[in-house]
Amino acid sequence: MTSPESSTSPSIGERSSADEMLIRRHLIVGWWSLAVFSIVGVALEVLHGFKLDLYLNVTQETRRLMWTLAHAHGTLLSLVHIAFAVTLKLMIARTEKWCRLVSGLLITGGILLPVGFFLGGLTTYNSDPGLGILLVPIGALCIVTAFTITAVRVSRGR
Amino acid sequence: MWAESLLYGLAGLVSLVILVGGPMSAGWIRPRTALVLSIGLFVIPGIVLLSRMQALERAALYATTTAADVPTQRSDGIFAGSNSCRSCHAAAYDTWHASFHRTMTQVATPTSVVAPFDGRTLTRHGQHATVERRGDEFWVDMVNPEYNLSYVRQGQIPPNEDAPRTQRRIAMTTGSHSIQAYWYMIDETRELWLFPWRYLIADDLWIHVDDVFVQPPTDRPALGHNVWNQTCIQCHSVGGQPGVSAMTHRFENTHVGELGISCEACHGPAHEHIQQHQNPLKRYAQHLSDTPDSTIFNPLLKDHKTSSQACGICHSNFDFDHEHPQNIVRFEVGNEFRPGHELTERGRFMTVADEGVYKEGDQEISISRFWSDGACRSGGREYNGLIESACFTKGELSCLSCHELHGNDPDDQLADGMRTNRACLQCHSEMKDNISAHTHHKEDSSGSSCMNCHMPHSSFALLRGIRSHRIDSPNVVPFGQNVRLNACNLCHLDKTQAWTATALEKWYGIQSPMLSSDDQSIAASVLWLLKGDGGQRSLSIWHFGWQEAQAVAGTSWMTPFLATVMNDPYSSVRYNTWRAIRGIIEISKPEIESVTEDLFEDLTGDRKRVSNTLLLDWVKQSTASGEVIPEHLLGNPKGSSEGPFSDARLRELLKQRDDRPMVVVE
Repeated sequence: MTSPESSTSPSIGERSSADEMLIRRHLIVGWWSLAVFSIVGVALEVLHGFKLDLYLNVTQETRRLMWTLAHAHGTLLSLVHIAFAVTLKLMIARTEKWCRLVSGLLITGGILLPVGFFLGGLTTYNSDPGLGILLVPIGALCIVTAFTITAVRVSRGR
Repeated sequence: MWAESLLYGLAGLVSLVILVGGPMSAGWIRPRTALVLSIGLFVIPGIVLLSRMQALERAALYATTTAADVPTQRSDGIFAGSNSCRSCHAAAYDTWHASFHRTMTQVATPTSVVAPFDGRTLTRHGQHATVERRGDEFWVDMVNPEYNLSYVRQGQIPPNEDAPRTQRRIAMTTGSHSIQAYWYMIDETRELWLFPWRYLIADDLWIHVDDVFVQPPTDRPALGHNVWNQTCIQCHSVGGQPGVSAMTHRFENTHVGELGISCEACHGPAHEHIQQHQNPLKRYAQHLSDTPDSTIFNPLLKDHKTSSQACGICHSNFDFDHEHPQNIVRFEVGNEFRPGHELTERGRFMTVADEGVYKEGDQEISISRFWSDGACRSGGREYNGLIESACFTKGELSCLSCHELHGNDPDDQLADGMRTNRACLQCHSEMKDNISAHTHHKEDSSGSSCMNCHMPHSSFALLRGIRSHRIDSPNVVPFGQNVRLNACNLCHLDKTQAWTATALEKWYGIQSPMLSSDDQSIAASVLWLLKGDGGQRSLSIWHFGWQEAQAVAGTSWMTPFLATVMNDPYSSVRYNTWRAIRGIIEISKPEIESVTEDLFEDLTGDRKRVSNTLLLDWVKQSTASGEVIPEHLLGNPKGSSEGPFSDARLRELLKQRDDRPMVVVE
């Protein structure tokens, strides 16, 4: 028999497998993203190391900026996935609808932002990135929404 | 701006307190209200602050010339300034920034001034000037130029005794590549006048303006009187407006879009372009469109005639039609030609028919811009040559076929490989595999360089030979007044025109003209050097110092000629003779210094002394070695009592020198 208290507000130790799945999903996404973006970082270092024109030529400043941003955003958002998993583990007693929404937004934004920057640097128009950059505002919207919902929910304590 | 930033910082702090503190202190404020409030407090002032910063940044682009004695830079809602272009076209900006176009006109600062203003005294025409630096300012002390001008205007030579002196602050510089000139303001008329000495950068030498051009010797020290606001402003700035007041006839309102030759000189005014392209939607629509951007002029996207006109406005002998309604007010609003305009609608290109004379005192001076065949005598006027070339009229040659304004070569702004035959082989590719069959010279020799034959250094500017941009084939014209020096003999200095004519007839079927006995018996370069006019002599002697000609013609026979023309009346001849001598004869440093000091005015006699010594040494060595100088180089037969060289024949030719006073207009 379940106590009335536990049915509405389960203790942190009483997570369902769905909760665990969500936490695990973000840990997996976060750490794998970190692995991928650290490789991207190494690739950018290689471009620097071999002084490749496609990246370092003064005419490729936009590409350099876009790919640096792709790397930076990808790495930081990887950490955000891990932070979200830890937040869920530490603070959120039970997975609610908003958690799944935030999870989806974080994953979508975490893909769109770095990919948008990367594609934006593939083809450029002088100082303007290529059309791939259009993915960035969509990704940014996802991320801003996810951060705001999480901040509000964390402030409320649930 | 500091107060605004501080206020914004405070607003940000308050918004943070509300955002974080509100929900945490229960009941004080609802989280949603806190969010809305903090966003309002942070975002709205942020937008205001950013707009203000943007306005200040834009205004700062035109804040670079605030000194009262320098033309104002301003947008007039037309020009945007190169700094505005930089944010989107950084690479193009960088290459332009490294160019000498940028530094054509600069405010005088410790960064822009390259000459030593170290308190030294400069002397010419018996007048002295001192150049000195005071802190970050550059000052000259000289005879009052208005005093000089008042005499010269009456055809008189100003007496130097008790000549009034004046001290002037140098406000502006022009040039930074070969020669730098310095300008100061005349307060009464607000004209920018030229300091009479210029600085030869490569030689580290101050030189009087009367010695910089091919021009006759003069006793009138103000011959170099120039007004920057009136003439130079047209090409040495962007959108320059002399701003002469119809009431006062003073340059009340001289202003420019930008000093120097910057982005908008070639691409046209960019204010509209920038306004339009601040909108990302319009920008991407343009990126994805096939039609060229109508808000800016891109020479690369235009046909060869239109694109070349953007260069031609300044690099030509062009006569603005003063009757044309758009040019009547030229001294007020300046030259309103913009890239993309049709140049011939605003005036006409000058031709050999425009050659004339002007009087200075009782002297008639020929003004020369063209050779008798119509090719330009002076450099910097390449467009006149280009439009007369078959490559342009029948083909699609443009300035940009060889020149790259955003490349890696600031010197001549040539694209990679364009110093070599690749330039011509772009179109004439059929000659690529067997160039010797066409040139009759070894493939890797200077005789197989397309440019040496078809674009010889037959123009003269900045005290040196400049390649003609009228692309044509070498031919021999009998020596005479204003006759251009033929390309072959500019390398084969030691051969006669008859020798050249025979080769051209044999190789290319060009019929040999009737040649004088001099043309048949005396080396062409010697004729030009001894009998030619000031311009022919200047160009001929420059080639004596040209390494490619030295390699072909040898140098062992040159000394008697060099020693002779060290005393030529034209400064441009003496300057280049001294350059040629130093290239082939080892001379001690003290002698170099003493002769250089005496090069433009006979002050110490060192120039004559050293040239006499050089000649005597050469005669001694040649006699001792038994070297026979060919007759066409004025040599005597072996064992002649007169020695290896016929001084008598040299003097005879020298007597026939074309001493018409003449100026090659640069």
